[in-house]
Amino acid sequence: MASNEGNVIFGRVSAVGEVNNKIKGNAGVSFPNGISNFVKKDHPLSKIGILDKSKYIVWHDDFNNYVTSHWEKTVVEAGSGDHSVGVINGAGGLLEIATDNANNDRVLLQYKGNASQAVGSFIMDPKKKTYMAMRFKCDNWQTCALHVGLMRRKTDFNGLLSQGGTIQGLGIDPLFTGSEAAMFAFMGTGSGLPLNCVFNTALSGFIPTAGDITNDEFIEMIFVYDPNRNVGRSIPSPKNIDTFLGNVSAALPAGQINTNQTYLHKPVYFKDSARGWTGCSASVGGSDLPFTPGTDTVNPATWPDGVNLMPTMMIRNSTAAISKLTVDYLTIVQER
Amino acid sequence: MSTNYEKGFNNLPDLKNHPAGDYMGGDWPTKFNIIFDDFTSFDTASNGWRVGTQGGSTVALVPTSQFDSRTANGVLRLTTSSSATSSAGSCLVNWAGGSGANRATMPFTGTEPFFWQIRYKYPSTATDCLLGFSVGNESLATGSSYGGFQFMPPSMQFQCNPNNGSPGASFLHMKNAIVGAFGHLDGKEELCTLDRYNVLTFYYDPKRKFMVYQVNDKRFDAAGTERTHLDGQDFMLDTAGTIPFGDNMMLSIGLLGATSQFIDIDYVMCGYARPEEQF
Repeated sequence: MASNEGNVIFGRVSAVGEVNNKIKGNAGVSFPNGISNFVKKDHPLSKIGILDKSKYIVWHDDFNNYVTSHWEKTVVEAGSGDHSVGVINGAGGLLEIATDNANNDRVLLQYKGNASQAVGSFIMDPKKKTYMAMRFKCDNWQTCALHVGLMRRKTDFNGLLSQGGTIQGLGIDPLFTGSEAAMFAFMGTGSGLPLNCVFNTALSGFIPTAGDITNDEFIEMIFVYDPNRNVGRSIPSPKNIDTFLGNVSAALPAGQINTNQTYLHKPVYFKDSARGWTGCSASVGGSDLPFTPGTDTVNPATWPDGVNLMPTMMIRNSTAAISKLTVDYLTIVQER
Repeated sequence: MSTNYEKGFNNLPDLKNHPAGDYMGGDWPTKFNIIFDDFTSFDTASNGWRVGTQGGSTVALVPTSQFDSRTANGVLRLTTSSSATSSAGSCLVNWAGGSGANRATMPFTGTEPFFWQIRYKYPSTATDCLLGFSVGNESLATGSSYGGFQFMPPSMQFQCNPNNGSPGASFLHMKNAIVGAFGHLDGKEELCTLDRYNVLTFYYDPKRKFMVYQVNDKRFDAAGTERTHLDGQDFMLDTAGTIPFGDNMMLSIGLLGATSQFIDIDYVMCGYARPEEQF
C-alpha cells in the first residue's frame, strides 16, 4: 500500500533495476498493471486495467486549445468592433473572452462540438450526482455580468436574470442589486430569485469583499449536487477550522451563515488563494431535494426539468470599456 | 492482473478537504493539465498546433499508403525541403492553442511536478537530419523556420543529429547552457539510433528537487553516485543558470538538415500538476 516514504510500484521492478519497488521521496502509488473501477470486478475490461468510461459523463476543457468550430458565439459589439476570444499565454491554458468597448457589449459562448448550433449535452437528473468545477477571473468584478457553467441555448441575451432560461453555475450581475456587485450561484430556473446560494450580504450569504477577490484574481468554484448527501452521511469533525468543508464553527469567514455544508444536497464551494474551500450559504432551498422521495416528480420552478443544457461562458460589460473573462478550466461531471 | 476498485477511486483529497472528494470516477480532470497528441489525426484548424514550412518542406500524417504498416498508429512526419538545406528547408510545429500565434501555457513552477515526453524515429536512411525539441516560453521558430539551438533563457532544448558526430550526438540545452550530452561515454548514442523508436522523457520532482531524463528504459546518469542510480542525472548544480523555473512553457518540434530528410513523431506530451489551491 501507499507509503509515506516513497512511491510504491506494484508488481514490477523500477526502471533502475537495482532499486526495486520503492523510489524514495514521492508519495504516489503506481499500478503498472493498470487500475480500474468497474462495479463488477469480473468485468472483462477490468482485467486490462482501464477506467470505466461509462460510469460518469465527463466534459472538461483545460483551454490549452480553443477550437472555434466547437463553440457557438453570439456577440454584441456596438463599440469599435473588436471583441476577441482565444487562448492567451499563461499558466494552465487560459481562454480569454474580451468584450468590445461600448457599454453593454457582450460575448456568449456555448458548446456545440462541430454541430451547426449549440446542443444540450447535459440534462440535470435529480437522482444523479453532478459536479461542476471552474477556475476563472474577471478584470473588473464590479462592472461585469458574467456566467460560467451550464445554460440552455440562447442567442439573444441581456443580463443574466433576463435570460428567461435555466442557468446553473456561477453568475454575476451588478444590475441585479444596483450598484452593489453580487455573485450568484444559480441552481434553478426562472427570472425571479431562483437562487440556492447567494454571495451577498443583503441576502445573508457570503459576499466576496474587496479583500477577498480583487480584479484579475483567479477563483475556483465547485458545485455539487448529490441526492444522497444528507442520507446517512456523517463527515468527521474538521481539523482546520477555517478551511474544512464540514465546518460549523463560529470562526467561519464573515458573512457565511450556513450550517454543515456536507449535509446539503446542493452545496456550492468557493475558494480563493487565501481562504481554501469554503461552503457558501444556501438562502433558498439548498438542502431540499427537488423531488419527493419515492416519486419522480420535480418542481420545474426550482429544477431544470428535462432542459438541455450546455457548457456556457458569457461576459457583458456595463461601462464603455473592454471587459475580460479569463477561464482556466470548466469541468462538468455527471453520474450515469 | 490489474487492480479493480468496485466502488471507484479518485486522486483527490478526501471529502473533508475537497468538495469532490467523493467522486469515484478515477482521475479528477483538473488535477493535472496535460497537452498530449498521439497524432492519430492532424487538423491544424482544431488540434492546437501551428505549422511552419520552408522551401517546400512538409508536416503531415503518415502512412500515406495503407500498406505502410511501419508508420501505423498515428505518426506525424516532418520532412525537410527537397531543394533547400538548413533553416531554408526546415519545418516545425509549435503550440498555438488555436490562436494562430505561439502560446505558452505550461508553468514550470519548481513547486509542482513537471514533465514532458516525446517518441520519435529516424529512418534508416537519415544522414544530416537534426531534430530539435523544445519546452520553453518562446518558440524555436524564427518566423516559420527552424534554425537549431537558440539562446532562449527559459527553455529546455533537446537536439540530436545522427550525422553530427561519430556515430551521433545529442545535447540538452537549458536556459543559457548546454547541460548534458547523451551517449558519448559508452560509444552508443541512444537518441540518434536509426530505424528505431526512441522515447525521451523528462520529469521534475518538486519534493526531491531533482530532474531526470530517461531515454527509452535507461536513465542517463552522471557518473558514480548512488543518487544517479536512483534518480538520474542531477542538473541542479547551477539552478539559476540552468533551470527555467517560473516560466510558462510551450512545445516546439523542429527539423532541419540535408534535403529530403524526415523524422516520424509518434506522440508528444507536456504537463504539470496544478497546485492544490487550483483544483
